[in-house]
Amino acid sequence: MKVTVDGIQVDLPAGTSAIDAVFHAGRDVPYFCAHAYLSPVGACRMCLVEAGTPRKGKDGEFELDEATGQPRVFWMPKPMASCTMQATEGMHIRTARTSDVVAKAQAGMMEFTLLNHPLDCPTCDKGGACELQDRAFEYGYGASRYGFDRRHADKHYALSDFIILDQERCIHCKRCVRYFEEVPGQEVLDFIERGGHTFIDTEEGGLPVGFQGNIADICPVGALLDNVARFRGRNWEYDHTPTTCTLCPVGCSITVDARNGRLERVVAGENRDVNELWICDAGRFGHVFATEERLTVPLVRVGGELREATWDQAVEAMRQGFLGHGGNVGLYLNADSTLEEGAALVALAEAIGTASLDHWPRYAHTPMSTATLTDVATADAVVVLGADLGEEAPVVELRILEALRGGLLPPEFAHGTAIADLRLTERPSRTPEKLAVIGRESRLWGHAGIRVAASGPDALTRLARPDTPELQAALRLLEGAGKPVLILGADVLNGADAAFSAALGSLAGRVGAKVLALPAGANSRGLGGLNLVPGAGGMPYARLDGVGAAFISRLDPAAQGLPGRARGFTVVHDTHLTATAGLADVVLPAVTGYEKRGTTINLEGRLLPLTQAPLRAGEGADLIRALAAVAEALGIRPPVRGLRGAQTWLEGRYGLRLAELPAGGLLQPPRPAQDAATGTAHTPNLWKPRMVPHPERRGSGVLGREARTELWELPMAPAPRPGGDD
Amino acid sequence: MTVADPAPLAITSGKDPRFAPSLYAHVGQDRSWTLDYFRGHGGYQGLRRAFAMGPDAVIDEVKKSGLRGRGGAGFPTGLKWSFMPLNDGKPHFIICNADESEPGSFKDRYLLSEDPHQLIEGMLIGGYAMRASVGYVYIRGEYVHAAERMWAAIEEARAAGLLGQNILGSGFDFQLYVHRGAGAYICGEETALMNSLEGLRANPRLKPPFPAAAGLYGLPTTINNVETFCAATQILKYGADWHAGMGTEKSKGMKLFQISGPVARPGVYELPLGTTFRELIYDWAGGPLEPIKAIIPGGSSCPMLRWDEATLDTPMDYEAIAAAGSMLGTGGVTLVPQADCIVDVTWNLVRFYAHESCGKCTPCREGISGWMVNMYAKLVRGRGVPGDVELILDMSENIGGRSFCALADACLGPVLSSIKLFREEYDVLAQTGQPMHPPRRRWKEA
Repeated sequence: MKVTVDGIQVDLPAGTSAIDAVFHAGRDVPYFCAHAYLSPVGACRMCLVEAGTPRKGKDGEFELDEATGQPRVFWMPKPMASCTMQATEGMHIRTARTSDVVAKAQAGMMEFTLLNHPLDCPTCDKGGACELQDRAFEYGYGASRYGFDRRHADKHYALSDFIILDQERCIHCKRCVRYFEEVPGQEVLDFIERGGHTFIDTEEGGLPVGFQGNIADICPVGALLDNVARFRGRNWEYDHTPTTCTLCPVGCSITVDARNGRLERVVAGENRDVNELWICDAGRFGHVFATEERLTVPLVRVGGELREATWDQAVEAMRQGFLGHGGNVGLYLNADSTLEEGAALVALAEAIGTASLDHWPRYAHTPMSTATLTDVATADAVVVLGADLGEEAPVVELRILEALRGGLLPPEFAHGTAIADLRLTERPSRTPEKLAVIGRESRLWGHAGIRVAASGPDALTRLARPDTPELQAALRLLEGAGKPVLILGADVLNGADAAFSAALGSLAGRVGAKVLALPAGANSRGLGGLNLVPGAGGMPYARLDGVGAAFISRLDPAAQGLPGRARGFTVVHDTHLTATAGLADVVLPAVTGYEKRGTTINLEGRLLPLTQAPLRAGEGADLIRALAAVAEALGIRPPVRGLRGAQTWLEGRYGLRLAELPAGGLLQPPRPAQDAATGTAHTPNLWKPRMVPHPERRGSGVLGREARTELWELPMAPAPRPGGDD
Repeated sequence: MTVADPAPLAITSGKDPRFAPSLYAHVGQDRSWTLDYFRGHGGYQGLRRAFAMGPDAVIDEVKKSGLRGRGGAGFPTGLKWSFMPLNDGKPHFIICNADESEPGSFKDRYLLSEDPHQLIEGMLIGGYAMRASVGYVYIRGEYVHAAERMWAAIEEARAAGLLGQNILGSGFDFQLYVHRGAGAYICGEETALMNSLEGLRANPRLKPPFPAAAGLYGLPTTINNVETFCAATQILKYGADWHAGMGTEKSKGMKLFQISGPVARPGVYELPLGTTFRELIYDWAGGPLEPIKAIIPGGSSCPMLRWDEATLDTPMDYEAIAAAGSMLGTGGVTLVPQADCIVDVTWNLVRFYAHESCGKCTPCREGISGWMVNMYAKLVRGRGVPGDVELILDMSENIGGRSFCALADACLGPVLSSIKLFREEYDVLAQTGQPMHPPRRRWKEA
């Protein structure tokens, strides 16, 4: 389909919207209400263009212009909103660059949009990253001719603990309303009143927890704001670091915004293959653990008490502590550690000659996953078995809902994701009959056509040989579908073994289903692939009291009710003074997932890069450097001393070239992991204790008294005293 | 040798002896809203005729009659009915738009309250032609009396077997429901009406898809005005030729004209299309009571016409009024007195549109509901400054044709026409703060 924009001819697939034709041609149109992942609505009327189409004569051919021999273009009598108009064969489009009518229409519309907008940009958190600001500068008149009082409304209207609405700034683009209806499928937000009195509000009870934070990202103005980050910095002051979230195995693309070395805000990044443009509330608001009560220096137990020390003193203390334990050392790390950190640990374990190495959380046996998240989103049947996705992998829930909505993946153009996808509709119809949920009641139940209460690993056996009508329906759903996906969660995977995998393989093979077994930790799949599990005679994490000396990285067994100390000597490497760290002999400060470089493997087997955000972490060190200190204390030359060394080690052993990952990550063929008993079951929980924002920080949006004293501790000149003769 | 009969002269005057009122024939009669009365005056004959001729022939009959939508846009009704898909296996809906909210229009309320069975018969005919199984009458919320009469009439019809399964032994099943609006002008817009009927916020929907493809609950739907359905009843009763014998070449049939303002006998008059303003105003309504300066020809959204001989001789049909620079609309003629300030009159209308804007799109929400109404308030209160009128004109250019639905354009009808016709009044008010026609006492002493 050939379309001409400002004289530039572009070739586009049928069904493309006019606005995408304009952007594809490299021209610009302002827009507020259109959004790449939401239905076109045509409310803001900014994207006006002039459009003309050729007409077909009686012979079925285009009527030709006698002078030029080209098809004659019949221009529409008024400018059209390009986000809701479909481009057609031979269409001509004029933007503001070539049409004075369009330029005036857009400037006039900009004046209307700004009519009741408070223009409090100097105190607005969106300032500097505001679509309205940019577009007003590019397309507006520069001044308003409106000579009346602007509308006044509530500027601090809390929609929930996390989201604050400034009703004056709202330009009624309806993106947030459409987001809730179309993406998480929750009808909670709508316009109230009409005309100039229209405002956004929720039904009683505020916004549902889960995915509410995304509306702060998609709001084109500063009306909906992240209350955790509110008033914490201006957009140009933040250091923006695109990286990957390590709170759950999905591996969403995020951008970490830091100011003066302090993490203030997390916003969603776009990764079409993983999270599209949405992240969960835990990933967005749960970052406060990275800034509050951090350990910044090593601690050494002296006289029964942990005292602050230097790294040299810590290494000396470790040297003495490890004496006499020889190779009887256990090395344990959190499953959200990077592949590089895992490589350093495996290399050190091999150098020490210990079989006691483990990561947590993990399952004793890992079934093979073959489905990607795109497979989930385009599946025609989804069966969720024993998973509470809200705790294990929230964004998978959104991808399932996408499948129920028709599984339309947004088209891609030269400018990226399509801005207005005309196949999407407001209040989309969903097909709940394509989803079966077998397990405990969870948020997904409301969307499922088939719901079966079940628990434990025998749920799979029951699905394969159904004993109730509901389970029969679920099995029929899998059998009747062309692209079914089976999603397995902690409830069944905790008891998984080789027999379970065989049963799963036979069921999946019989119905032609792809399988997505949700890993327990953010990088469980990667660390499992390195076989970072106890070898013969080695002690698993739950039995770390069986080793003489233990090194525990960012794990808190004492809080889980597991043994918190090794028999003889314990080193803890953590970001906070946890219960386990309180029992340790030496505590080394660690860094969070936001502060390190490296690579993780997400639930679908995709290699995703972590980037280091410029955050103040005191003397905190990542696991590779902490292990180098341990090696030094043990008197061994550390086999891996840095990130590059770890990547070289991984390339040498597994052929992974991690230094050259594409931006969206790289799908890696599955690598089987060894079976190893864990000694305890994994209970998924997304919101870990220190992630919940401080209560005084929530709700009011007013600067609290707590934990931000450093703002006021800046050296300031003493206030001048009034002079006097006395 | 035989010569073909000359085509009968079309009836274009209510004074023509061949013309007799049909839509309003029974309005004002005792117990005209009951089924007994309606049956006693030829009721449900049109429906029997429709059942006898079959659905496709009904659509052809309506096409042949030349009936055009009476809600304001004047789209050919038979053509609209033929857009409904055939044999697609889906349920079809028809909706009667009884959300008569435009200032100056008050014809439908009497059809609903005085002759509800005429509408039920019309909807049965429409439903039969369009293979619809369910019909809704969306009645403006303020029409409580009309809604009650409608409810009662539907109960009567249901009890008499005229609604329900296998109506009159034809094998046709049809149910009819009344839905009362909650008082929003925007619900007269067909897609907003469907949203409202579904229980959603009454915002207009994106078109395409058009209602005939995906309307109420995403199923094929056709919406017609009350008068259109009633006219269908009469067409099936008296035949397409009877209907086509009235009116002008392109505007056929009779029309309910409403006249309000300072005339001796304001009210609703059923006249053939093509009747002149002069005949309506002088011969039927008894002439103006005071000097008049403008006519709003078809409800408040239609541009004003200057009161002069040429306008008075304009036939009231779709084409002639369009040629004169306005629209036939709903046929709600309003006279604007000479002694009233035109800015004040227009402000009154602008306030209506500002109040009724749904808030979905920017030009209407901010331009009409926010800015335009403030500009008029400023002018009328004597705070205007030179340049205000130019500003209103420039704003109107930015609003007109830029909005999502036609509500913003409807507001610009009176604004632009009043400025065009009475620019002097605007300029004097903007420059001096004093209106050329000072405000009068609006209400008579009790």
